[in-house]
Amino acid sequence: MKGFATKAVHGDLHTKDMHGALRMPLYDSVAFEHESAKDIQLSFEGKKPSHSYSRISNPSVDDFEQRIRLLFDALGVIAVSSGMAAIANVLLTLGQAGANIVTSRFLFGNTFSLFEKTLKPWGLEARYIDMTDARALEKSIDENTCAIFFEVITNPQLQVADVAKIAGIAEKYTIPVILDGTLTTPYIFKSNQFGVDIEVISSTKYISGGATTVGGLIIDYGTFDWEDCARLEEDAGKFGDFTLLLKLRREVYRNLGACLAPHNACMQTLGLETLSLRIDKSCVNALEIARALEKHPKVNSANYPGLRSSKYYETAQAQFNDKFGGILTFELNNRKECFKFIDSLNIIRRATNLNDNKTLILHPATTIFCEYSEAQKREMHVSDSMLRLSAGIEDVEDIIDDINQGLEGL
Amino acid sequence: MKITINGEDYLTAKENISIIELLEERNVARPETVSVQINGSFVKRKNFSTTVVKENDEVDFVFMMAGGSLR
Repeated sequence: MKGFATKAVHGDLHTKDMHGALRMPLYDSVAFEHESAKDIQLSFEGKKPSHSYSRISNPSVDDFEQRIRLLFDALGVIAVSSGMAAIANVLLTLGQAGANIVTSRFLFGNTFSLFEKTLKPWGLEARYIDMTDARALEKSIDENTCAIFFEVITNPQLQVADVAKIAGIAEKYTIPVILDGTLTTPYIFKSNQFGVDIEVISSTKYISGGATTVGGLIIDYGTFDWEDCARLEEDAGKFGDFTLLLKLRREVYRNLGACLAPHNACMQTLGLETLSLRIDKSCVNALEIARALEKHPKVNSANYPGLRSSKYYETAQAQFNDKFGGILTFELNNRKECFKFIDSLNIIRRATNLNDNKTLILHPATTIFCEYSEAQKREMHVSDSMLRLSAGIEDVEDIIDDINQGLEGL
Repeated sequence: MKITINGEDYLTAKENISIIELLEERNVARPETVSVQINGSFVKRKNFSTTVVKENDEVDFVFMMAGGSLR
């Protein structure tokens, strides 16, 4: 099996269900029984490949993890309860008080909140830079830097950094690169071929199959030597390549308890099967919508990495295989106009999510960035006149008609 | 040849068996996801086919599903 869609549909052909079910059954059970006390001991020690308790592992979740592992060509995968849980689990495994992460000044609002409000009081510092500025990146790194973290396409600024360049700098200083690849997934961007060591993904978005369930993924590509990580150095001597995954599974992930529900794993496995079809359609729709907005006289500007007017077009084209994702933004005159436009829409839904099957619209400044000051929002390039649109998989003419009637009413 | 796998005695007909052969002989599913130690030392995956297990070696296969302590 070579093709992405074939792998996504069939997974590991060698793993058969005991009854021949073509779809992995839902193992909606908390606990799993063992033949003897010795068997339970071996299971807890990791010396027997069996499930004991669903907060730690579960057959339905394991099946989803293994499909992702094959599809991403990864060393291993841990599925968690959300994309935010994926980021938190990884940083709580690599970081410690006194350490720092170098990250982008453009981050998803909740990720910024995690760094500034949740992790900072525990002593983990986040240093914010422009990820397209290699010099700034090098200047921010010191002996306490435990990771470089950034989003593949920033939300909602839609900045696209040169991932290979960032990974090259990280390699020079032996620091792991963590990429939030939610908006691309490996169907658009094979991050391990650009030097990314760990990818975190909100599987709630593209993967879930149309916003069916909330979930997250931690993907370890097996490329970083954990002996070079201060927090994991001791364990690395014993577990080598698998150090991060085992540290998570047998400590941080287990203790935090942010496991993926088996039901969600089944829904997301189903979503995975149609992932490439849905991404293709949403990317085509996003580009057509962006082109229509760019030409419209009532729109001040349209921002989409697939537009030639985007300053990130060439970087995106080099990295993303002619697919630029499903998210775009555009500017009207002010918040009042944005709200009037949102309220006039008939098909496009007023909701905060990304990569749903339905086209969604949001005013970022008053929603996902509402907790930040005006100065912080300016620093993050989140303006009061910006709207974010997540292209769905509908017939794009209907979406453009809906946008046009909304703009005509302004 | 007598060795120990995960604390249990194990007899294999083959002398100087490689790790990859041992994983196959034991029908270990998804061997690429198993962390292997010989006498407490981690073996890199890329060395599975060249690293040989000898008489009386203590081999540990560690699977990713475990919830017990790292120690």
